[in-house]
Amino acid sequence: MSRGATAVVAVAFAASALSVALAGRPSPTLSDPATRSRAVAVSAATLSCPGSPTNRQTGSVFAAAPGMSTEAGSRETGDVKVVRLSPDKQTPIGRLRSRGSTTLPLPPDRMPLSIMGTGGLAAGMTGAEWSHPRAGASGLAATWCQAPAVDWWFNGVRSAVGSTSRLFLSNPTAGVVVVDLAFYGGTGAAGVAGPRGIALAPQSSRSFDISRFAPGLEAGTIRVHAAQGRIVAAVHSSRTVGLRTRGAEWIPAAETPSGDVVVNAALSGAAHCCTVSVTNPGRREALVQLTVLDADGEFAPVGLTNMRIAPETVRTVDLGKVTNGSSAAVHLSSTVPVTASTETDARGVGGDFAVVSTSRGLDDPAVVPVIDGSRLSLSFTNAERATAVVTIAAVDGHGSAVSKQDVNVEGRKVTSWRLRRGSGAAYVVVSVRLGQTLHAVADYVGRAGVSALPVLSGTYTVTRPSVTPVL
Amino acid sequence: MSALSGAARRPQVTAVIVSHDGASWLPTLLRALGSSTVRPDRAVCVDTASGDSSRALVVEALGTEAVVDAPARTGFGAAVALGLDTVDTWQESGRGRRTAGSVPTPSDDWVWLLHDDCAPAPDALEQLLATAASDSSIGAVGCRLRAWPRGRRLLEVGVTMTGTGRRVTGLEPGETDQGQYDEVRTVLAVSSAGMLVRRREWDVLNGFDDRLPLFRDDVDFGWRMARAGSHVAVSPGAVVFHAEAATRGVRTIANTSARPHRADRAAAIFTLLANSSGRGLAWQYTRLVAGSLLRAVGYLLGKLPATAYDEVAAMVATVARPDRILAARSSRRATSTTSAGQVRSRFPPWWTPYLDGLDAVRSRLAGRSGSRTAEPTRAADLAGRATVGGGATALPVELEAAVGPGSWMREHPALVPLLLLTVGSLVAARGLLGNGLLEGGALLPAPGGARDWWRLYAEERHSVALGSGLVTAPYVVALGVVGTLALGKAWLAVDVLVLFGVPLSAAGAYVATGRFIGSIPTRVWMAVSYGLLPVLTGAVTTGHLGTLAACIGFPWLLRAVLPLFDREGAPTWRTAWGSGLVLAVVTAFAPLTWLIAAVLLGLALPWLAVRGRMWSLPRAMVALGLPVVLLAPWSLRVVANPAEALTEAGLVEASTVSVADIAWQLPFGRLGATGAAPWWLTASVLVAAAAAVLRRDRRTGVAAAWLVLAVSLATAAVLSRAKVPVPGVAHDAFVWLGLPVLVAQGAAVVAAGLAADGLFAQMRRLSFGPRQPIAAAVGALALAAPLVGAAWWLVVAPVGELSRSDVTPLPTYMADTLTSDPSQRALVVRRDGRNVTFEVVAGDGLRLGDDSVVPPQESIRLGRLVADLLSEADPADVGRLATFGISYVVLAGPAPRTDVAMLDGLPGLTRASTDANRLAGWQVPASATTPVRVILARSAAVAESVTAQPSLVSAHRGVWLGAQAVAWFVALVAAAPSLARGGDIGPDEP
Repeated sequence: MSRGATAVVAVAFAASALSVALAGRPSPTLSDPATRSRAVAVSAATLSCPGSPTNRQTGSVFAAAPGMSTEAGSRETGDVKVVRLSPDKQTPIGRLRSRGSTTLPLPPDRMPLSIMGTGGLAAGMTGAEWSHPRAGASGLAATWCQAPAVDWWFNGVRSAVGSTSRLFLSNPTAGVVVVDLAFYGGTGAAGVAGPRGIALAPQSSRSFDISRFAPGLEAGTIRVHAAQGRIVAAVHSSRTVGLRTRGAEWIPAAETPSGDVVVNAALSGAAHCCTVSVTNPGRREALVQLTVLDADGEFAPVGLTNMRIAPETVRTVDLGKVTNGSSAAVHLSSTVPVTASTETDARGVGGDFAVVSTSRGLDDPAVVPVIDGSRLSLSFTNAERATAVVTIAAVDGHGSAVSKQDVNVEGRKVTSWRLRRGSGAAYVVVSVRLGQTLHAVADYVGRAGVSALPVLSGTYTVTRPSVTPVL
Repeated sequence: MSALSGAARRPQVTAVIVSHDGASWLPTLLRALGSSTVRPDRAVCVDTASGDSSRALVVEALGTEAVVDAPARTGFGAAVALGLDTVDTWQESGRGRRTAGSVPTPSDDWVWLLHDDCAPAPDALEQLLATAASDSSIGAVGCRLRAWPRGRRLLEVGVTMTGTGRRVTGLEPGETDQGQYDEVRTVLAVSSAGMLVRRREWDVLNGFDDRLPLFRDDVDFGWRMARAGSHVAVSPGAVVFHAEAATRGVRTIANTSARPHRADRAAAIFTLLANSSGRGLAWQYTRLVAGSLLRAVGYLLGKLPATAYDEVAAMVATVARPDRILAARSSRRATSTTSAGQVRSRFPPWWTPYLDGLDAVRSRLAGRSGSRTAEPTRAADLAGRATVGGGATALPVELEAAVGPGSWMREHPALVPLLLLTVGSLVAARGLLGNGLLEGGALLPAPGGARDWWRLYAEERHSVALGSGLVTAPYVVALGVVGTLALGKAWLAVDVLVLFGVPLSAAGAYVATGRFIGSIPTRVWMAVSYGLLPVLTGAVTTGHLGTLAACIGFPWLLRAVLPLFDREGAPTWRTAWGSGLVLAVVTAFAPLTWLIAAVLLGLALPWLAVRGRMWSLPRAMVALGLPVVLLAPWSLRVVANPAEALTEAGLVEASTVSVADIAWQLPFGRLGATGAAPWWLTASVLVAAAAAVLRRDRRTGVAAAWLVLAVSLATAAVLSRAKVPVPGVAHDAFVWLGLPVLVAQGAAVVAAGLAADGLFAQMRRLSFGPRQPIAAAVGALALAAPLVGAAWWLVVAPVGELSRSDVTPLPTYMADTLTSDPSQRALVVRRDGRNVTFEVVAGDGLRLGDDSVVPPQESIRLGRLVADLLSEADPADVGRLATFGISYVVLAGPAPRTDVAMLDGLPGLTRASTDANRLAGWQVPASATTPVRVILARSAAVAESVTAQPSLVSAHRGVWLGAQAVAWFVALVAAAPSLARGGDIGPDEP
C-alpha cells in the first residue's frame, strides 16, 4: 500500500503543478462590462429666442441647419421649425426642410420664438435674432437663440440713470422652471440680493426690468440660476439720451466663471476699445492677472497687471489707451473663478455700443449669421502658444458654400477676418482643426449701429454615458 | 397473623411485601428477612395473582394466613393498603377498619414496604429504625438502593422530580457506592422498595394514591408528606438491593399493559398536576403539554416511534381527565399543612431539564449512546444541591481536583486557543464594529429579521430588482435557522458568521481532527491553522459568506464522511445519511463543494476496489445523492443552469480581475483578494505538507490529503478560465476560486498534521541522524505559520471590502413606500463623469439572500432608457419608466446639475422631497406606473421559464416546500443516532 500511496502523492504533486501552470495561462477576455460612452448626433434640439425687446424696434430671426455631413449633396432628415413660444400648438412661421438657413421678420406681437429641429437637421442647428430701432434711434442688437440651460451669467449690465436693461426668461421645456436671480454690483459694494423662486410654466416666458431688483447698477453682473429645470435667459440693454435711444444691445451670455478666461473686444479698429468688467462672484477675494492680446502679440498693461477684486464685486477698468483702437482681447488669470466682459463704445457709429463676454472656445463648427445692412468681421483670439488654423466658409441660404478660406491665427495674438461685400452668403461657418481652441467674436457694423456676437460652436453631438446596471 | 421468629421490640414494624410473578427474586428476599439483625414484628404478603410460584414461596416462608390474594391489576399502593387492613384485622378485631383521616394508632408503629424483587441487607431495618428514631419529624425513611443482587452500583439514595416530570436520583450513570452518601439526608421522596413509613403518616395521607398504581407513587407520597409537614429521609446505612424488574421490562405488570413508558409518563404528569401550587397550574399544564410534544418529536428523531406514541398518549390521557386531577388536588389540600414554597428546595431548579436536554442532544450528536435511565451529570449535581437537611457530603480532595476548573481545562485543551481566537476576532474586527449593517464585496446587508429569510424562501415570486420568480437558494434557510437562533436578529447571525468565522472554523477543525489525530497539540495547531484560512485567503474581507460558511462546515463534513471510508468496521447507513446531510448544508452555501466531493469519490473508487470495500460505495452514493434531493428544487435549477454551480452564497462579484497573473500563489491560498495576507505567511504549511510524504507510516493518509489538494487545485485551475454571468448585470465575471483554494489549504493542513501526529515520540525512538534536524526544522516552520498568520491578522486587522452602513440611500418616506408596496420600485442612478451605474431598488433594497433570486438576465432596455434620460430626455421616457414599474427616479448625489435639470424638464416627473446635497429624486405619477413586473431575459428560453407559464421548478412552491420538509425530516431521522431502549443499563459487577 505504501507504494500505491507514494504513487498517489507523486500524481498529486504533478497534478498540482500542472494546475498552477494551467491557471497561469493568459486570462480569457470578459464581455463588455457596459455600453461604452459615445457621442451620437443630436436628434432633437430646441432653441429659444427672446423676441423683440420693445415695440419700437424691428428685427429678424435667423435659423440655420448646417447639417452633420460635409459632403456636397448629402441630405439630412428631419426639419427645423420656427414657432411662437406657447403651450398651445402653434403653426410654424418658418420652416427648413433641408440644410441651409432662413431669415424671417420678427412677429409684431413681440412673442419669444422657439426654433425646433429634429432628425439630422437638429445637429448644429443655430438661431439668432437681431433688431434695430426704427427711425430716430440708433442701436443694432443681436443675440443668439439659445438652448435651455441651468446657469446664465450676464456681465456689463446697467440699470443706472440713462440705461435700461431688461431680463427675458423663456421656458421652452415641458416642465415647470423655478429661477433664482443674483446681482453683483461694482465699486466694491457687496452683491445685491436678488429675488428667488420665480416660476415659469412650461412653454412660457416672462421679462423684468432689472432696475426693479437692482437699480443703479453700473456694469453689473446678473446670475440667472434655474433651481429647478432649465431656462433660457437674455438681457437687453439700451441707453437713452434725453428721450432718444442712443444705443442698444443684447448682452451676450457669459461662460460660467473660471480661473482662466478670454474676452474678445468688439469692433476692431473701428471704435474706442474698451472697458473691461471683471466680476468675482465668489466669497473670496480674487487676484487677477490681466494680459492684453492684439494683432502684434501680448502685453501686460502697466498698472493693470494685477487686480484685486473683492468678493461678490465687479471691477471695471478702461483699456482704451492701451489698445489704441486695434483689435484686441483680454486674457485673465485669477486665483478664484471670475467672469468678464468688454464693452465698446462706437462713438462714430451713431452712439451705439457693443458688449462681448467670455465665451467657450471653439471646438465644433460655428454658424455666424450675416445681417443685412451690416458688415461682418470676425476676430479670433488664440490664447495658446501654437498657431491655429481656422477655416471660414461662406454659405448661401441653401446651404451651399460660396467661398472657403483658411486663416492662420498665431499663438497669443488676435487675428481679424472680414467677409467680402456682396459675397451672397447667408451665414458663415467657422471651423477649427481638431485639438485647437480659439475664441472668436463676430462684429457687425452698419448704419443702424454696432453689435457683437461671441462665436459659439454648434451642438452637433450629445454624449451618451456608459451605463452599467449594478446590484 | 404471622410473626417472624427472632427479635421483637418497640417500635412495632410491620413488613408488607407485594408480590407479582416474583419467583425469581422472592427466595432471596425471604432469606434476607430471615437473616435481618432486626426483624419486623409482623409480615404480610399481598400477591397480585402471580402466575408463577411466588405465592407458594411466600406461603412456605410466612404461612398461609400471612398471604393476602389480590387481583392482578391491583396497584402497589392498593396492595399495601390491603395488607395493612389484613394486619389490622388480625391485631384488633374489635376496632374495625380504619379509614382515611381517622386518628391512627399506635402512633409509633412503622410499616416496611418491600418489593418482591428487592433484598435488604441484614442491618437494613436496624439502620432504618435508627434513622427514624433520630428525628421525630421524619415520616418516612428510605434505603440506599443498589443493583441486584449484591452490586455496588447505586440505584437511588433519595429521589426528586423535575418540572417536566423526569425522575432525578442525583446519581451519575453507573455511579458506584464508595461511601459518598454516608450521611442522613432529607429528600423529596424515597423509593417504595425498602421504604420505612410511620403508620400514622401513612394513614393520614391514606397511603399511596390509587391513581398511581405503579410509577411515581413514591414521589407523590413523599411530596404529599412534605406538604403535610413531615420529612422524608435517606438512611445511608440501610442498603437494599433492587432488581427494578418492572422498570426494566423484565416482567410485565398487568396494570401497565406492557407500556411502562406510557404508564410512567402518565404518572409523572399526574403527579405534577396533582401537587403543583394552584398559581402555577396553568403554566404547568402548558409546559407539560408542550414538553410532551417536544419529547415525542425527539423520540421520533431517535427512531423510537412507539415511545413517541406513548409519550403523547400518556399526556393526552392525563390532561384530558381534569376531574381526576381536581379530585387528587382536593384530597391533597386536606392533608397539606405547609405551602408549596416550603418544599421547593427539594426540587431541582426549573432549568435543569432543559440543560439536561441540551446535554443529551450534545451527547447524541457526539455519537455517544447513553442510558435511558442514566442521569446526566448536571442533574446529579443539581439534585445533590437540592437536598437539604442532611448537609452536603464534602467531596474528597482528589475528587474536587478532578472536577475543578483546572481539570476541565485539561479535558478541553483547545479551549484556551479557541478563546484566544474569539478574543482575537473581536480585536481584528475593530474596524468593523459599531452601528449599521455589515456589507461589502460579495456580502449584502442582512435583512430586517430572520423571518425575512423564511419569507424569501417560501414565497413564489420575489420583489427583487425588476422582479423574480426564481427558486430561492437553500442557504437562505440555513441563515434563517441561524437567525432564528439569534432571536430573529439577522444582522447578528451575519456578524457572528463573518466576524467569528475564525474560531468557528477552528472549533470544528479541532473536533474533526479528533477522529484521526491523537496528539492534542497537533490538533490545536491544525485547528488554528485551518481557522485562520478564511481570513488569510481574503474570503472574509471580500465578504464571501459562502466560502466562509463552507469553511466552518468542512470539518464537520470531514468528520461525518470519514467513517464511510474507515478501515475498521462497516459504515452504517446512518453515517451515509449524516454525511449527506452535512454535505447538503455545505453545498447550499457553496455548490462547488458537491462537485469536488463527486470528483473525489470518483477517484476513490479504485482504492475501494483494491481494498475490497466496494460495498461502501452505495452508502457513499447515498451521501452524494442526498444533497440533490434535499436541496430540490434549487438543485434542479442548478442542473438547468450549470453555471450557477460555480457561484456561492452572496453576490457574484463583478470582478474582471483574473488570477492568471498570480496563479503561482494559488497553492498558498491567495487569489489576489482585497485584504488577503501575503502569500508567504502560510507557505510553511505547504512545505510541511510536502515534507509529510517522508513519513512512511502515515503515507496513506497523507496521500489522500494530497489527492484532495491536487483535485482542489485542478478545480481552481479549470475554473480560473471559466466565467459566470453576474445576476442582474450586463456582463460576466470570473469565478471566485476561494472555495477550491481553501479546500487545498485545508488538505495541506491535514497532511502536515498527519505527519506531525506522534512525530516527536517516533523521532525519540530513532537514533540521531539527519531525520531529526529536518523534522525539527519543518516543525518549527509549520508552527510559525499560524503564529505569524494570527499576528498579521491581529495587527493589520484587514477590513478589505467590508464596511458598515446604516443609511438607506433613499429618503425615509421613499424607502417606506417601497417597503410597504412590493409593486413599486426606485431607479437609482449614479453618475461618475461619462460612466453611469443604475440599480433598481425594490422593498428595502437588495439584502442577503436576495442575491440568489436576482434574475441572471441583463436589463438592456432599462440601461438604454437611463442613457436616454441622461443625454436626450424625452417626455415619452416617463411612460417607458412606467413600463418597468418604476415609481421613483433618484440621482444619487451630488448629481450633476445638468442631469437634474434634464429630468426636471420631463413632463410627468414630479420633484420628490430630497436632501439636494445627497440626491435628487422624482416621482413617476401613479397613473403612469404599470403594476407589472418586467423581467428581461437573455434568451427566450430563460425568459419563458421565469416570466411566462410557471415551470415545474418555480410553480407549486407550497408543494415543493412540503416535500422538502418531509425529505429533511426523513433524512434527519435517518441520520440521528438511535435512542437506547429500556433495560440498557450497563453491566454490573457480580
